[in-house]
Amino acid sequence: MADARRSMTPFYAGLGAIAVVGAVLIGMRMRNTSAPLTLGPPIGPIAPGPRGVVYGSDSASVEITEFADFECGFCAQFATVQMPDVKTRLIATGRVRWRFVHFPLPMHRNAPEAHLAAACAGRQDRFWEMHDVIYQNQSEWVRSRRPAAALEGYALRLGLDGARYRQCVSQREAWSQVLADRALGDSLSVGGTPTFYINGREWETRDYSADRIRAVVDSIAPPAPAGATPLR
Amino acid sequence: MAAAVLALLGLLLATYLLLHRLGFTGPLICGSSASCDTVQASRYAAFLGIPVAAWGVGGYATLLAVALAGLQPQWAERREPTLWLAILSGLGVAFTAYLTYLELFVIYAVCRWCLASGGIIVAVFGVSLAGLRREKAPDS
Repeated sequence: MADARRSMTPFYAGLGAIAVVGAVLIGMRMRNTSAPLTLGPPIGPIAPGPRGVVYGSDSASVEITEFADFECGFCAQFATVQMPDVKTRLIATGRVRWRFVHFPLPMHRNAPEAHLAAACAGRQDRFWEMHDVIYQNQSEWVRSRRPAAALEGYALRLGLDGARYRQCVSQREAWSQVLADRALGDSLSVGGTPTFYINGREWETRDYSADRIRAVVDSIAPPAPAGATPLR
Repeated sequence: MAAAVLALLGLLLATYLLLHRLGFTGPLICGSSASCDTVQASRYAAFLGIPVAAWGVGGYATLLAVALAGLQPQWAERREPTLWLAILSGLGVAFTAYLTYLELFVIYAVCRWCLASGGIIVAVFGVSLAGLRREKAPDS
């Protein structure tokens, strides 16, 4: 039996070597969250017309534009986990103005209905509440065969005028806004969601956590009083 | 031995895909040109509420354990480990066929890492079937 064990030793050593090499290769692919905060070249005004939906102060020195798809899981994760922190620390304090741009992706079957629903809620000045509830319930309406019914349920729960909402959705009154936003993204060659622009420059990042956003905002417009985190 | 090596390769691959799904590797973007991102961001990236890649990690870890158990002296002459390898990898092949169908005809995106995993599970199945035939041969 000892001989049998000895004869297997090279095999186990080889298996261990494969495991170690594999683990190292995976480790090399891990996201580097300490990468520099890089912004792409300026592309001019991000929204020449009334594109997107704005949240925050007009006098904020930093504008962050988010191209997002309501059916995108990463967008939902960002909206439900990171965005509350961004709202509290950056938007509510007047440092950042947020611009949400509709960018439904062709591969997402129910996304157009969701974007239309949010745009219709926007016509009753309730876009951001609808935005939150759509993301919070993404797993429900994404799987639904009748997403419009689920979305209408959210709208009514928020207290929207049901008749106006139904009219807007059935006549697709707000659809042109979604299309115009989508066209803006196409003109900027937005390839996926979420994609962020900060003061008209693409934010090339793999890590869009609230802390990271705060760091990049600090590097552009240091918070008062002085003592902003220096750009690495 | 071949089954153990293949199962280990599958385990590493599934671990990478699970880390990608959880956001530790790769860009966290829907709709990028990388088809794996499209597949991972789709509603089919979870089965019974658990990420498909996590099923892969569990499945390959089980296959690896069974394959290594079958190499131990007390099990080396017995048929059960090879039979269990064939059953488990057969289930894996069926699940992989279902996932590949979804990629080709529902999601319209093919993830090359998922295909590689499919190749590995088919190879484990083939190796275990060959093992079963070899074990049966002396009696026939």
